[in-house]
This record gives sequence, structure tokens and C-alpha cells, in this order.
Amino acid sequence: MIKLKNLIFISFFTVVIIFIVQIIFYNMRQNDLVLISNNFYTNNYTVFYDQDLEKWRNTEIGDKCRLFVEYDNNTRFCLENNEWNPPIIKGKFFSKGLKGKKAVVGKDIEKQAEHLNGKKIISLNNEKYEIIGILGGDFTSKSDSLVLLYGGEIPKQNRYKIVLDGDSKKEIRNITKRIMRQYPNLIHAEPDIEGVARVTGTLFFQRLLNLNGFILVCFLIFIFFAFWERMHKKENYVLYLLGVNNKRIMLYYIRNILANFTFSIIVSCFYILVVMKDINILVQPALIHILFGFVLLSVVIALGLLRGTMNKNFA
Amino acid sequence: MLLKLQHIQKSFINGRTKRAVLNDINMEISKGDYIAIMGRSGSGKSTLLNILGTLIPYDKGTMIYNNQKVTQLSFDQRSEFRKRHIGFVTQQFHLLHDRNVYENIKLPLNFMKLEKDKIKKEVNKVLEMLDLESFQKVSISKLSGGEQQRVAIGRAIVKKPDILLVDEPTGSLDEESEKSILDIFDMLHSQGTTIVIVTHNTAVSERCDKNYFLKGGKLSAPIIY
Amino acid sequence: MLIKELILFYKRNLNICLFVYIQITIFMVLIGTFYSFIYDLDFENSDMKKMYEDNAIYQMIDNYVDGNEFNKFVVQKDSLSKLKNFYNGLENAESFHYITIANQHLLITDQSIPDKFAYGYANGMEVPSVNVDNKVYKPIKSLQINLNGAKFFNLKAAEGKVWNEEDFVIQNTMPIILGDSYHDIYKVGDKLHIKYLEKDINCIVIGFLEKNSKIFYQNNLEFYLDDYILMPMWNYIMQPQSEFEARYQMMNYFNMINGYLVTKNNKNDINRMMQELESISKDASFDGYTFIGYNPHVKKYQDISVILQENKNLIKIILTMSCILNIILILFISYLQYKNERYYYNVFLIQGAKKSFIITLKFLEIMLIVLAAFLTQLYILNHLLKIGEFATYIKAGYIGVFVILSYVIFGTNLLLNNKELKIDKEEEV
Repeated sequence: MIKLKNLIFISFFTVVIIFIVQIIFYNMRQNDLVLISNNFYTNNYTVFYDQDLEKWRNTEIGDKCRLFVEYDNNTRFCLENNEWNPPIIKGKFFSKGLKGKKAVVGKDIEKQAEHLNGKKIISLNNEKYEIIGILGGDFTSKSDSLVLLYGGEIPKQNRYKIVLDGDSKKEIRNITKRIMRQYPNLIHAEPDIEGVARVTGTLFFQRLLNLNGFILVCFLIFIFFAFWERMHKKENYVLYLLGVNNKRIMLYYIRNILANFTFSIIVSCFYILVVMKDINILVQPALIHILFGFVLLSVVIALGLLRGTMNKNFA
Repeated sequence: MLLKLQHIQKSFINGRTKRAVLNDINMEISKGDYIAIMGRSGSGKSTLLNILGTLIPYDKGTMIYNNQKVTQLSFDQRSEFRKRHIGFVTQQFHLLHDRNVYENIKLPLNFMKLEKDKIKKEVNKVLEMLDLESFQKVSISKLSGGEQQRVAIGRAIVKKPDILLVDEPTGSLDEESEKSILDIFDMLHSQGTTIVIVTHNTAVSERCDKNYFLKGGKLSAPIIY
Repeated sequence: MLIKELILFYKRNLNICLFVYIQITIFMVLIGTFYSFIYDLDFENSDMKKMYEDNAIYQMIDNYVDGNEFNKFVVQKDSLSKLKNFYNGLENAESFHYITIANQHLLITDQSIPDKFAYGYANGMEVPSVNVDNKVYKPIKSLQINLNGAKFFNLKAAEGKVWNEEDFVIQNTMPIILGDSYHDIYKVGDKLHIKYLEKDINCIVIGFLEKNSKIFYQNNLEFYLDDYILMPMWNYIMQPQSEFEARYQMMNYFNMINGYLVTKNNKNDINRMMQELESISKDASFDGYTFIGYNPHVKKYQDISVILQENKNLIKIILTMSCILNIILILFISYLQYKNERYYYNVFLIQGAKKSFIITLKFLEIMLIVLAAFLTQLYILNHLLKIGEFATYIKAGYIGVFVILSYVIFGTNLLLNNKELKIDKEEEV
């Protein structure tokens, strides 16, 4: 039978964990919206103009960046994607080691695709690309006319428009500096960002929400454990009177806290699977890291407060 | 006659059980009385004292103060009555540890809208009376048990109450401190203060003029010395 | 006495008061930012709605793309007057609004202007230095727009002003508006000397557009004007005095007759528009135009609108959860504070304090913290972040009212509804 104290603990932290999950989900979705409304580029992307394409095939761009060659406003070739996972409605994106000529297209392009041997095909310059994924969100956007190609021959142009994109602005800047040092005659241009990030102050608000979420969670942990320590004051004192040493008392509470956290996490997972219906969040590294940090921080605060009380009362 | 209790009854409800603590209490307190209320632990002595001090209401009966019926008062009315007429000294002193001796003794006068000079005068008088002058700027937490008890008494008497109610004044004190506290009560009584002390210590009750015994929720007839 | 008790309260509870102050400040900043954000979102949406919903927008281009055709037309004696009359007819039409935009670059002698403002920079073109009459010029991005266009796109000035009707009358100095990115380079009142279509023009900066001002142009609903110099499309009523002037006016008018016709999206209005256009063409004896009758704008506007709505819903969910947790936090803190302070309040009550004293004390304790948080929020939103308006800050202040009420009601209720006034041993400090 779960005691009331533990029930309060479990309920409270279930709500907090769900809040953390919602923030992660919000960030994921927000990033998707930014991508979808900016033609599947982040706000960090930068552009190079070059007559020579070959050097770009061997340019080192790190694990978190990607490289495209724009053929026209709606069509681009993917040179390097490094396990990028853009918002895909159906199918999958290009993965490392993919063979053959593949395409990932917007909803409108899919409707115009040919059917060949049970596969959907689009053509460019007499080359056929198999559609393996459909980009976009569950609403219409200009990304519905987008075509991303992989593996085929990039049509010869007088000058290629190379796009370097990634999740970290700092990394993009560093790579750009390196490339410009290596090839000083290259033309580099900062493009105009479009979409929801520019039309509204969305990115700023995202940062503010994240900051608020972080501070709120820290405050909540601290205040809850101040409250929790008060609840256990008597119990603590009795254990001390009975001669149980501090270490054993601490261990007893660590077990108690971890058990309650386990219940909270289980209930939260249930919520994520049944209410949010999104299993992808559960495997997000960010969620696992944050939850681990969160549990660790809570244990440290709880024990710190307890120890403080012990030292004060039992000195 | 200063304060009279007639057929006072008080019960406490604990979950589903009702426990009668005071059963038909009758008591008269005259001006200048020096009363001890004795009884075993759990007999209801502190409850009786709290009723006298209007800290808690009673279930049935009548309380008469200065020939005026003081029926069930509202929260604010009880505060007002307490402010004007009652001084209370508790067993745990209940001083405020974030201020010094002077500020603690001054506390009741803050609620009485007196002039600053008058307040200073009254507090200094009490400090002198209780031999606390050299401690006035000292923080409460730095005082011994006996010194804290004296501060608690000072706080209770600074407003010149009609009745001084004292709950187990020597419960947590050593013999020497106990004697000095009782000497203070003797001195206050000699100055005309009406004192009611709840105690189970015969050393305290022997100094009082009247002793009451509380047993089975009933108060015995006073033993007058 | 209240002030003294307040000071003692804050001394006793400095940590928790700071805690509460920081938490409420951040909460208020969040709410203030949210309201401002939603207001901007709704404003953006309603702005676009006004422009695109229920409107049919048709593009019109001239037929003289081919060089030969162009030359054939230009050598006609009355070609310029035909263009002028046609343009004037469009500009003064009753059944539709005529919007014309051109992105002809201008030349400027100031070489220190960063390359990002240069014409062709975004397309990776090398920025050339143009040598004219022994002077070196830099080609700079610029847009020419008529008054109807400026009104239609609701261009707003963050500093200075945007054009009014007088600015479209030919004068010695051309009033120009600069995009937001020019803020660090020029200021309102600065005089510039430019070369536009080979003509020397003196300009004066009358204003800077708001950041991220945009128009619909070149099939893009988000054509941002931050890096552009905007010039008014003047109507050159007077006859050209020289061949150079004639050529200059001709080039201008060829730009001006390429534009967009905007009318209400119903059969009657569209028919009237067609009829009037035909009549204008007849009157001006000019029929060298092609009418593109497709309407991509509404769909594009709807796309952005849907994304904005999606964004708004997402943020509302997170904000609601944030609010709930903030409320839980406030209640926890209120409860802990009640536990901490009950001892003191009980001692006051025993000494004869009234309920009203305790309530006033509790109210002031929290009100001062909330007031400090409110003022901090005001400073942060107004001076540091420069977002929102006064109404936004007041809305954020409602949080403070809620906090005060919940703290006072919750805490005082617990304390004073207790008829038994006693101090338990465990309440001792």
C-alpha cells in the first residue's frame, strides 16, 4: 500500500516529468516548424557559390552539419546529411551508406510521381529517382513542392549554389571560416531567413520558454524537497533516537526517493504512449540525459537538505 | 471579584471520539489573588488556563469579568480582551528569536497604540524590575533558560494586565533559576498583581495563597493558605 | 510597527523571498512575452488576412520582353505618352488597386557600404565597381514602389515616417525609406546622392522600416525589405526636355506598367476590373500587356497562416503547463511560508494583535515582493527586450494579483480559521 507521502511525491514528479517531456516535444516541434517554413533549412544555413563541385564532395563538415547543392528553388541534391532527421510524414530520409538514386519529396510532388514496378519515381534530366520518403507536416506549406535528391548525377552548371546547414550556428560559422581560409576566392553569402522564425519572435520565445522551464523545474525540485524534508523530520528524529546512523538513514532515503522516481517515470511513460501517442520522444537522447540529470539533482538536493537538518538538530 | 467561571465545559474531538476535558468548572478569581492550579499530566490544567486567557473557546458555561458576562467572544473580541486584561507566560517562553530582549518585552505595547516615549518608559521599568537592563540589546537565542523566562514574564507584565496567567513556569529550569523566578512572582503579587499559575510542582504551589486541584475534569474547592 | 515587522520578516526569510521574487519575475516576463508574441502573431495573421483573404490578385506584364519588339515600340512618336496615360489610368482605376514594384538597382559612391546590400549579393554575384564619369559606384539593392503598393503592404516606419501622397509628387530631393539593416549606416535626415537609371538624383532619408518588413514580390510572400532602399515611383507628368530625360522616363514607365491588380475575389468585381482595364487600355491606345489570371497568393498566405496557428497552439500548451506548475510552486511556497511564520503570527495574536493586522502584514509581505517583480518585469520587457506595450505589462501583472490573493487567502485562511490558538512545540523556531 503506497503511503500518502509517497503518493504526493510520485504525483508531483510525474507532473514535472511530463512537463519536461512537453518542453522537449515543444522544442522538437518548433524546430520542425522552423524547418518546414524556411524551405527545410534551419536559421543557421549559409550559402557558397562555386564553379567546382568536386572539392565539396571531400570537404570535412563534421557530424552535425549537412551539405546540399541547389538545382533550383525547389530541387536540391544532398551531398552529405550525417544522419539528419527532418520532419517526415511517410517513409524515411537518406541514411548513411544508402545506395542508388533516391528522392525525398513534398506532398504535392508525390501526387505527380510515376509508378514503376510498385515504386514511386520522379525524373530529373533523364534520371529516375525512387521516392523513399515524404517531407513536411500535417498541414500545407511551401515545402510540399520540395524535392531532395540523393545519389544521382548533379547537372552541370556554370556555378553551383552550395548550402551548408546544421543545428549549431557556432559550428556553421567555424566551418565557413575554415572553408574561406582554404579557398579565399570562394563566394560566400548570408541568405535571407524565411518562415515562422522571422515572421514572429519565435526563436527568442523558445529560448525564454526553455529558460523558464529550466528555472521552474530547479525551483520546484528545491521547494518540493524542502516540503518533503519537513514531512520526514519526525521520522528522521525517531530513527536517530533509535540509534540508526546517518549513513543508513541517507541510504534509506535514497532508496525511497529512487523508488518513487521509478514510479513517476513509469506513469510518465504511460502518459507519453497513451495520451501523447509519440514513442519517438522516449528514445530522444535529450530526454534521457535530462531525466538522468533531473533525478541526480533531486537526490542531491534532498540529501543535502536532510543532512542540513541532521547537523542542525542532532549536533 | 475579578473573573468568575460558571459551569464551564470543554471537550476535544479526536477523529470520531469526543473527550471531555473540563466538566462543570466553577472558579472565582479576586483581585490580588495568588492561585495555583494543580493536577496530574493530562488533567486539563493548561486547557483551563487557555480558557481563562481566551486562547480557546469553551463549549458550555459562563465567564464573567468585572461583573460583566463575557459570553462566546469573536476572534477579534478575544484578542482585544487579551490585549487589555491578560498577561500570558507559557512553559516554552515563546519568545521571538529574531529580535533582542528589549524588542520582545516591547511587543504587546506595539499593539496598544501608545506614544514612543511612554513605551520606552514602561519597558525600561520592567527591565529594571527583572534585572534585565544589561541584556536589553542581547538576542534571545544567547540567553539561558532562566533569563528567557524572565523576558517572557517581562513581556507579560509590561502592559500591566489585570491577571497574569502562567503555565508551568519552572518546568524547564534548574533549582536556582526556579527560585529566582518564583521570587519574581512573589514580588509581583506583593505589588498587587493577580496571578494564576498552573503547575504540578509543590515548590510553586506552596508560595500561592490558594490551591485548586483538577481531577476528572472537575476543580476541587480551593485550599487557602 | 508594520514596517518594522516587514523588515524583520524579510531578514528572516531572505532566501525564500529572493526565490519567490526571481520566480515571479520570470513568470511575469514569460506571460508578458507570450502576450506580445501572440499579439504579433495575430497582428501578422490579420495583416496578411486583410491583404490576401477575399482578394483576387492578378499579375500584369508588358509584352515588350523581346528586344526588337521593344525597339519597335519605343521609336513611336507617342510611345511615352501612351505609357503615361496607361499608367495613370491604372493608378486612378476605380474597380481595382494597382500595385507596381520594380527592383532596379541604384548606384552609390559610398564604397564602405557592406556587400550584403549590394545588388546580386544574395545570388552569389561578385560585387562589381561601376565606373561612370571617372567616379566609382557600387550597385545597391533597391525597390521602387507606388503609393498604392506602400499602402497595400501596410509598410510601417520604426523610425521617421513612410511616404504620404506628397512624397509621390516630383520634387528636387527624392524621399527614400531604408530597410532596418541600414540603421547602423544612415540616420533620418541623411542626404544621399545616387545614380538611378543613369540619372543623378538627390535623396533624403525620411524613415527606416520596421525590422522584418515584407511584401509579396517575385512569387514570394516573404520578400524582406531589411536590406533594401525604397524609392517612390514618381509620375513624371511633365514632358521630357531632352532625349536623356525621355529615355529615363520611358524606362521608368516600362517598370511601372508591370504590376498587380487587386480586387475583391468575386465574379462581379473581377468582371468590372477586366472591363475597366480594357477601357483604360483603349483610352491610352496601349494594349501591349499580358494579363496573368492565376492567384497563388491566397494559398501561400494560407500556408503561412496555418504554420503560425500551429506555432501558436504549440506555445499555448507549454505555457498552460508552465502556468500550472508555477501555480503549484506558489502554493507550495505559501504553505511552507505559513508553516514558518505561524509561530510568529500566533505570538502576535496572543499578545493582542487583531486578524486585520495579521492579514495586512501577510498582504504587505507578498505584495512588496510582487511589486518588485512587476517593476523588474516592466524594465526587462520595456527597456531590455523592447517588446510589447503597456497593456502587455499590465496583463503580466495579473499574475502578481493572483499570487498575492492566493498567498494571503491560502495562508490566512489556514491560520485564522483555526479557532484554537495555541503554539505547538514543533512550531518553535
